[in-house]
Amino acid sequence: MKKVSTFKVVSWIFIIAFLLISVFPFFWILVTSFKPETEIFGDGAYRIIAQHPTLDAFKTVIFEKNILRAVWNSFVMSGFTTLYVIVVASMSAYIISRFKFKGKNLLMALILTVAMFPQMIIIGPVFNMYYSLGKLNSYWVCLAYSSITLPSAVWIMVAHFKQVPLALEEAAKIDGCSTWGTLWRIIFPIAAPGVFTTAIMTFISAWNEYLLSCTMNSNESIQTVPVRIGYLRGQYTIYWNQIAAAAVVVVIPTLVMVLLFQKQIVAGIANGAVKE
Amino acid sequence: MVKKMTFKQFLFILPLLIFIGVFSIYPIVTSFMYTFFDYRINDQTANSFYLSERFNGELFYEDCDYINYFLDDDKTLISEEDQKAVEEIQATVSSVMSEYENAKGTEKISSDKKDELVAFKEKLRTDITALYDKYPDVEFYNKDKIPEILDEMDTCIVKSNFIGLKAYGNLIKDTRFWKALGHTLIFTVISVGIELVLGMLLALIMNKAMKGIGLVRTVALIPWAIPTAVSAMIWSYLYDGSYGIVSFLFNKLGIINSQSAMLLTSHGAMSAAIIADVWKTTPYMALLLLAGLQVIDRGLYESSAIDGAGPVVTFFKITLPLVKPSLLVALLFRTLDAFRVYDLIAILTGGGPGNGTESLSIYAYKLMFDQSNYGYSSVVVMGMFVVVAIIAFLYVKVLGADVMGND
Amino acid sequence: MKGKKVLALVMCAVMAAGMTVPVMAEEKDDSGREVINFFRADDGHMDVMQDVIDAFEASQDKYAVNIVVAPNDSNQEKSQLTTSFSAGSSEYDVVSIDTAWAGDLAGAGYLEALDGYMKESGRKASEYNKGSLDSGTYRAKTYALPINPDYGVLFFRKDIVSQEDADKLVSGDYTYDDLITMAENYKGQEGTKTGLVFQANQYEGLVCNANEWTNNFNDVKGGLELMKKAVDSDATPEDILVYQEDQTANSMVNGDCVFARNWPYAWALLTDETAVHQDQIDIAPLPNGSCIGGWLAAINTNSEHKDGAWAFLDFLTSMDGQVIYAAGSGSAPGWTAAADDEKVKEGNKLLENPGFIAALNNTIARPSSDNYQELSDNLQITMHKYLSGEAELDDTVNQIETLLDTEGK
Repeated sequence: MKKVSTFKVVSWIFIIAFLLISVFPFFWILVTSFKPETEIFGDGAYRIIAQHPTLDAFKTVIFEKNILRAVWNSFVMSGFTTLYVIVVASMSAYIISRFKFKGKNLLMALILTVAMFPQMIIIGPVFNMYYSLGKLNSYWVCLAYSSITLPSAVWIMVAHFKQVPLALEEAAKIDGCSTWGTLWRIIFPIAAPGVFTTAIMTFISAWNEYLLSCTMNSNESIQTVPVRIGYLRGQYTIYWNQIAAAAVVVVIPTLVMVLLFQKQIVAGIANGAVKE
Repeated sequence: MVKKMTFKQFLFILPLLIFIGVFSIYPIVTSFMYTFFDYRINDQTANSFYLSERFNGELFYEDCDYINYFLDDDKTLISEEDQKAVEEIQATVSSVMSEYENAKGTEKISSDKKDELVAFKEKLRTDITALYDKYPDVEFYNKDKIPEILDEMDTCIVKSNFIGLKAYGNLIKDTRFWKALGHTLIFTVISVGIELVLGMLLALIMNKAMKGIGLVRTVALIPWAIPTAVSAMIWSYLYDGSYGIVSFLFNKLGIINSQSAMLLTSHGAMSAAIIADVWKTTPYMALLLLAGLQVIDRGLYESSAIDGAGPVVTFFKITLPLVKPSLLVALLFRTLDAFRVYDLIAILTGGGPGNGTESLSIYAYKLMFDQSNYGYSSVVVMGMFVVVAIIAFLYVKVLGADVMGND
Repeated sequence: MKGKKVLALVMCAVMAAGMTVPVMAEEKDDSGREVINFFRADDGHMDVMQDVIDAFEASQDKYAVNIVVAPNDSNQEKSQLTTSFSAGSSEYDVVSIDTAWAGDLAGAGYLEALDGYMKESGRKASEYNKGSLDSGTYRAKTYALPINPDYGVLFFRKDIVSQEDADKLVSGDYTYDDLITMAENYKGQEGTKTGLVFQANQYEGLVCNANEWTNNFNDVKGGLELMKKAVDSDATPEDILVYQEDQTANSMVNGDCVFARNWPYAWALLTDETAVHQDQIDIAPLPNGSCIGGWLAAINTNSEHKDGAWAFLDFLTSMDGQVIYAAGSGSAPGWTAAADDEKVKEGNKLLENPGFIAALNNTIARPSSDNYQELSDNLQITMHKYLSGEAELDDTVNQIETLLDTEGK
């Protein structure tokens, strides 16, 4: 029993250290967001509570710089990306993990290969494509996000689907389930932890996306968060308090969303365990 | 147990093929084509793909127009007789150029036509120079400008910019490429290494059903939810040489000699970038590994505990082999990501000091967007691809290829 | 399971609603006027630019102007522009470009040559700010006209520097060596932590600064040696090699330095709330002249509204527009005559400052090249390496001379 408790103590120390380090920069951003511009540099720089705390940065960011519109755009873009990536990736991952076909290795290698190229080289051709279709400055640009999200999603899902025992499917087959049904009713729920992990990762990759969004959705009404925050600087000046405030505004909804999904992830694990 | 795929099942992977084809393969193939051309979009003789000699009629028309326009100003300063001569020149120019009035971009040109145009241009140069030479004392408005326009006319005849494999040869001799490769490898190996160890520890801990683990998981996502473009800016504020809190604390802790040292040397700046990257992406690694750990049958741990194995032995004997597929995927995709690092370093150091932190992506980005050299930039990207492909191949070989689906 | 389905349905509905939001560039506005799209970064004076546009729209009834706000990160702005141009897009009619990009964009054939339009409207080259206009000229053709030219100036603490030295500075009759000595002497007074700050990070600003120290790259060796002397001396902050405009301005505003080389914008950052106020600072020209920067206006060669684009560009860059813009934004006007306008003088007190005027009258352009960006990039790396002590002076000078010979014109 003693061994277990040392393990627990070490774990907790590690976790607490990790949490402190993770949160510290964010904590500092929070601190900075309440400072007036004059206290960001100079003597006020290390003060935790500003001498003259102010909500000006938040006001500017929300009312003048329309950050909420960008948050909404980011949600739409990332949400839609997650949705189609999960559907497309589950379908292919199911087939790849369950069926034999020629060129399977080749397909996996190809998917991996396209993930090796830096994003900048796809911008030109994809921009031209959207330009000629007249779909620049629209939510359709999220389809192009597949180039950064789909390869890893397929690979991760294949790894997870392979761990689902085959016996369950056999039972489903006997019950008269089609391939389509087996995927969504049997495999998908059992592999839920993997699916949610993939979903979160897809969502965040799309949420972080900058280059495509910046070149193709340049119109203010459709800009996403990373792009919009880039506008919080002058030609020579960076408005640190506004950037800090924007970062706070951006992180809060994400956290709420993660908390919501948290339940789903836990539920997924429980489900899987019961069925196994 | 594994069945053969039928057409119906092929339909399941069709959407994937379409997406990959349209948004990844098509652009990559296009870029691959760039590498065989001296393709620079800030130069009208190289801003498209010319396999044969062509003629830029649009530019030619504009240049002729300018010649006449400049002559208009200058002819007011000379004798009436010479004015007539100038008007004659202008009339010839007008008649030659009229053919290209509605030209757009470049067109094919016969060699006869080409000779004719070259002769026309040379005569123009001689005639105009002769006229200016007649009046050495007059201060003309456009005496220096006309030769510049005539020089530009030379570029109207566009030679083929197909260069075959030459650019790849240049890449091998390009020391800047090799240095950038070195920086990228250092960044990738160190940051992915640290992330792997920390991420694994974190995942192991999160996998234990402890109270408050939900909170840990949520908090761990904060760094990741802040877009890289933003977190890089935030870190540059935290590292600030005069007022940055992190550089201040590091200095107080004795990690760096002076507060301003953080971004000043290549080593310091590289460490700064690595810290910021580890901070941001460790949760990603942890989450991927956690998902793998969760599928491991808990019974295995119990039987291992009964056999009297300690936690370390259990980890190496049971956990590691079972989590290998997830580990491989996590490592692969983290490595690919780290290898392409752009925003973080670009914002923190811009590649400095003295280019000591320039990554391959930064180099390729500078070539493409700052210098408009799409051709060579694509070559650098292909060089980058070869290196990543080797790394990926090694991973798959070393860690086993079972993720590929060969049961 | 039910929860998930509902969630999925809600998501789908949201997406469907989202996808249909039309974000189209308008061709005509409500009153049937042609809409000219103007691509311009928000430099903090967008309201003034809007005033110019309002005045333009009031002056005629054929065209309306819509601002498309560009990102302020100039790398991003450039790549956005290049991508759009290379697709042959007509989405922007008038674009605001950095002085350093004009040659590149013109050489690519993306910009409309303006001489014909200028002739029709009776504009003469001599009426614009010369340095700024030159940077918009490529191979004898004018492609861009100045909106707001920018010049390097030296800010100094007149409450610290002695009257004698101040006079010397304002007259411009001093050398960089003198400046370093002064910085060493005055450092520490009135709570200052350092003497001199300028831009020495590895980026475009380094080329601007080096251009000034090396006297337009005529004295590369002497200039760089002095720069290195400044970097190594106690008179500059230890991390001067990561300084850009932002750090420089912060140092001045927080009262950390005695001397700061910066663009005139920094003047407006001094307020009653900052540690240092405007009445503590004076402006001097730089010893070998001021590097020119700032923004120009050009027309997209694929624009479908070229006449309207010219009408607006001309309004913006000539007397009427420049008076409004210079008076409102406090920048120096690109239309020379506008500097004498009472409103402009009222709006920009700096135009009565002798040091500022001296700087304005002695500007130098950056080295010209067919591929300026490549030249600049190579210069930055070479010089930064030397300044950070990783290369020898002689090698550096040789490399720079070679670069200027092969890539410069």
